[in-house]
Amino acid sequence: MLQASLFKRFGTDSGSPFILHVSFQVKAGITILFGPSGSGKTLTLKMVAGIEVPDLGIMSVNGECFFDSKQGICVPIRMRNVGYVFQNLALFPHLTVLQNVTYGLYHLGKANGLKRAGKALEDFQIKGLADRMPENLSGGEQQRVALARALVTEPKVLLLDEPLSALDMGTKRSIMADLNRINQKRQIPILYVTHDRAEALGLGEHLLLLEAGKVVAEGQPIEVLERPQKETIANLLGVENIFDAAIIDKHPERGTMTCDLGGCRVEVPYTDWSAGQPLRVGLRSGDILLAVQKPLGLSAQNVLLGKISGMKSFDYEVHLAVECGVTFKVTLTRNATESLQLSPEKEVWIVFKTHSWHILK
Amino acid sequence: MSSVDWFPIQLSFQVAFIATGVALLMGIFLAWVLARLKFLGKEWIDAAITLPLVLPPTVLGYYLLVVLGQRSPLGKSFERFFGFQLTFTPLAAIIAATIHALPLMVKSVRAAFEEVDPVLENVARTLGATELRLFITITLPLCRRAVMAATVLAFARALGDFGVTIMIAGNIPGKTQTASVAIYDAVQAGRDNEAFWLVVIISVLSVFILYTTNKLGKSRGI
Repeated sequence: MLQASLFKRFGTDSGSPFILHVSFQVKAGITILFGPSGSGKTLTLKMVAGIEVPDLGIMSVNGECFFDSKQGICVPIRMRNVGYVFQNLALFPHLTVLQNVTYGLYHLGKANGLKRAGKALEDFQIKGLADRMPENLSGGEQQRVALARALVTEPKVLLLDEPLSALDMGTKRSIMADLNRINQKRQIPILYVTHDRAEALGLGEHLLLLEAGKVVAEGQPIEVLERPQKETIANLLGVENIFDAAIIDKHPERGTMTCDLGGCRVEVPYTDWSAGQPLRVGLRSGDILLAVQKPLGLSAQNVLLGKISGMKSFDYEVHLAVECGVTFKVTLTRNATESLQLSPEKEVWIVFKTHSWHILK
Repeated sequence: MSSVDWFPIQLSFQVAFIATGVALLMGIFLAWVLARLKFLGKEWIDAAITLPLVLPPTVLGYYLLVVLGQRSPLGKSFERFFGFQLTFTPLAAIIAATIHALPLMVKSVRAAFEEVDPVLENVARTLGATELRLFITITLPLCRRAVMAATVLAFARALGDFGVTIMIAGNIPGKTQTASVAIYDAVQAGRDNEAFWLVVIISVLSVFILYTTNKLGKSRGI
């Protein structure tokens, strides 16, 4: 168990300081640190590792104190036994794979060090690469070496800073499966930094959501990321359509409520809020479908006629604004936009499921 | 060629080798201090170390004469302790060559140390390395090219020093007369043949050493 409550004030070039103030408890298993760039994810990892020293706070791993500002305790980096895989992996470029992996086993002596390293290379399926230099490895292989090097010392905590960001999903899954298998035996807390939703949902057992140096939400990844309950969090997670709504009618038998958004009516999931009560509802732009003819035979409860009022193309996707009494933001692929021959002023039907709505507090 | 006195050549190479070795060790230490430690007046120390690159050698020689000379406190203490005076000895020639070579070493190696990715050093720390171990196993090997290049330059500068050497080591044949000084002396005295052969020998030996160093460096991937 990693327990931390840390505070640090960083001066920035723009003059206004960045304040990191985080408190968390992390059990064995993978905990995701999720948040936008600049929210303090990497700084949090650095403080756990001892690379950054907090101004105030307390931190312990399995009851062993790493830092306590009141008692003046700050265990140096090398004494913490924390495995850290940096974003750029940072393999020692002048050492072979085997030398990289044995670097942290200096204290064991040569024979024992080689034995332990051999086991780690086997665990991560890189035994055949032992004599290769890092520059001659693929991204996935480098990743495996970095993980083997960090885990071979049997660390008390493992810190992973977007380690898989450059890899395809298949390689990511295979590496994470290895990591999970290895961690089953030792059960240490793993802090995994990412800003990729799919990674967070696919790999994490627990999630801490950071914004502007603070933990703003925590829980199971699917709870925090897929069902945001606060407007600030919905904003942070890219829920682009947020509206004021008034409950007009409640249908407990259908599990829905009819709400007025101030121009159109929609079905949202049932809550125990009473009719007439104002609330805020949110919908992701990517959860909306578009049709050029009225679709029939759908399970989706919300089918609205609207008109395209704006279009903006990006590399792979197109952002549209569709006027249906209120303006919905919709994200489509370029391919979908072209095959439907969408253009401004065109009439379209927008479709979304009741349960795509997030009721926000 | 039979009339060539080999002593100046021998002395020059001895002085250059020792001075390069001393400059290498001192240079790496000073470069590390300047690259890694934060303290008040750091850039002043850097400027003082760089000064010999900028000052005319005779000016530098004059300063050394003032600091190490027979009448200076340092010179007197040295003489009392070791029983001989420091100036106008081969040791003075070594000091002259070292001080002349040091700034090249410090400048290049400091820049190389500062370019080492701090993340690599932090990885080594998380793997339990002490500062000394990470310096020897990570920082220094990553800077080996810069250190090697600086060593070659320092050697060249130490071998070729004239101004500083003549000021504090003098021109005593058979004692402190290095090749550069002997060549100057031979030309002044009209011993053209001797000057010619000294020039040829020192050029050939220098080319040989530089070539061998490069070759060794390449075979070790430096």
